[in-house]
Amino acid sequence: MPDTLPEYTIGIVGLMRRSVSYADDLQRLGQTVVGTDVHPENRRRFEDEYSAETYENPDAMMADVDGVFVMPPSKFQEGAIITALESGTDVLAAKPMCASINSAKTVRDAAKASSAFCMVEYHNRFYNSVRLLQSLLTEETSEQLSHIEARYTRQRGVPSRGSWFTSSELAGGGALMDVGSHVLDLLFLALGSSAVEQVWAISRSEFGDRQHYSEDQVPSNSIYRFETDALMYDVEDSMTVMLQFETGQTAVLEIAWAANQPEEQIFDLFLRGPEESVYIDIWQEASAENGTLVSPVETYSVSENAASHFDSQTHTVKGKNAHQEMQRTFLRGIRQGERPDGCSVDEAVHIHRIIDAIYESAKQGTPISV
Amino acid sequence: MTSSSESDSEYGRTIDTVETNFAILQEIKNTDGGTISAIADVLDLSQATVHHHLATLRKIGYVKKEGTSYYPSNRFLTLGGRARKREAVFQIGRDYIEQLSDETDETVRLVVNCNDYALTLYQDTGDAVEQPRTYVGDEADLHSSASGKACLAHLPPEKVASILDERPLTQYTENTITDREELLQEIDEIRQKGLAFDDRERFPNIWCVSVPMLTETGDFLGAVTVSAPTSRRDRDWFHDEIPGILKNASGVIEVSSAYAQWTE
Repeated sequence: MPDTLPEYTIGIVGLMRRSVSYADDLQRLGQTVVGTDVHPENRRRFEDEYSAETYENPDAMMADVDGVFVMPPSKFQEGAIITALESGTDVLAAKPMCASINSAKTVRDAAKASSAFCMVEYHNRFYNSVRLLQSLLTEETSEQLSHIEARYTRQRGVPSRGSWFTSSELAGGGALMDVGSHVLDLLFLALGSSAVEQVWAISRSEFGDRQHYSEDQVPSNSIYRFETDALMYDVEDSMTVMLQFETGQTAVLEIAWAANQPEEQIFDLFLRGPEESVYIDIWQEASAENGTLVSPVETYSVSENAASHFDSQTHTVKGKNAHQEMQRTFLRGIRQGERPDGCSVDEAVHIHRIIDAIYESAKQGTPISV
Repeated sequence: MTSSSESDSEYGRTIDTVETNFAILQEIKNTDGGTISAIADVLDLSQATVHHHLATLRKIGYVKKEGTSYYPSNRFLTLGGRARKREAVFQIGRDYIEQLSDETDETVRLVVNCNDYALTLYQDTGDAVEQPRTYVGDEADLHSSASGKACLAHLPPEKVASILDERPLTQYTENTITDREELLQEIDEIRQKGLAFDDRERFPNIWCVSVPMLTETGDFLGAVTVSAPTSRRDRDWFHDEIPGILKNASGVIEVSSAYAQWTE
């Protein structure tokens, strides 16, 4: 059944590489796109490529749009999100939402005071495999989980080395902020309301000045890359994190923008429990064509059959374009005039709080109580 | 007594007396105090003219007299302070300059282009520094300093040519670049590397490294410079240790300056 959406005008704040795919998606969904960026060159390219109107700053754009995607360098997210919320414009904010926990709390307060809503770009929620995971994890199943191994590691995937992405001041951090936030999002999704009690983290920065590091994952036509002569690199590019929850459950996270590993990318969670374990390979669905069949979820359990040593079950889903699904959900939110379920500012603030504790632990070199 | 004559310029009608007045001020600044006869000699003015100018400036509080010498007074800081307060790059940059001086222990400066001179807009010194050679308001020739060369590297070629045509490449030390071709070649390298060095070219025992910053339209915004005496820091420190630290800070100032227009 076709779900036709009205034609809205969506403004993109920050016309860099990662925003471009959203403009493509929005046009495919029959929406009108406009944009704003401080760099005249980025505005010109966006105008040419999308026959779209551009503005010099978010303020000037707000009166003409029905919703905005806010995705400038993280440090400038807070200001742009608040500008939108204060003008009553619905926001889809790039994850992890802000560059710091304080900034995130300011945004949360602004969202509470606004008639508009702010949704945060945790797009993985919209994969069919993740939705299946949610349905498999009944309260009972979730409670018996004892340990989670989660990985988000790339072979060569530092985003735009030297740009704002690799500046601690502008991005708020490195691999943990960028991809680690996705892992935390799914971890909290899986464990429901369990509170984190303690974190222990070790961070590494190893690929900043590797001259022969190949940047195959950065598209060579990355015209929306931030143009700068400055080569900043003062963030972590990999991290090992251990979390302990008040329930006694534990998790180990391996996060890396770059690693000498055979797989191009690993993004999976292995949730272990004495009754049942669940494995989910998010990357399998993320790297598949929209609509093809994938089997990214498996469950393992003690067999009730005496002759069987061990039970396992593979679950097949139709691969979904999660980015597009998230945008549809956002557009429906505009239509309904209410905040869509999930991807909320409160959840983003919670992730920011744990990220902050993880950085503190890495800095001090000791476990930290949250 | 001079008459108040006027001239035509690209700015419209201008008053010659004001130019004479500022030439006298520049002179007492450059020589760190000047007597009437010395100023009259250098500027080819009558002693009476110089005296009248200085008397006027004293009357309105911009010049002070000690013995027979005249000096600029602190009142100029009210103009300078106000001028600087308006600059976004100063507002944004000062915290990072202070962080860098903590991190390096040395003299760190934010330098901008002012009338095609490298002007120190802000300076902070680390614990190792007792008596820095430079100060806020310090003005250097573009060819003789790291930040000046960084600026030349990002001025339009025709602008660089006209500056080099009009101004001599004054030799300050035995390392100052006084050959035009050599200078042009070096600023090409600076543009490519995003890094400029001063190899004891302005002061005989000081070296510096500087990173240029650009505006969102690619114009020169300013430069961040670390300098230290040769007795305390070696060449490797400037070439291997400092550039990375400097680029992390200058990049943030550059990007934040571009986005400042969103928050104004």
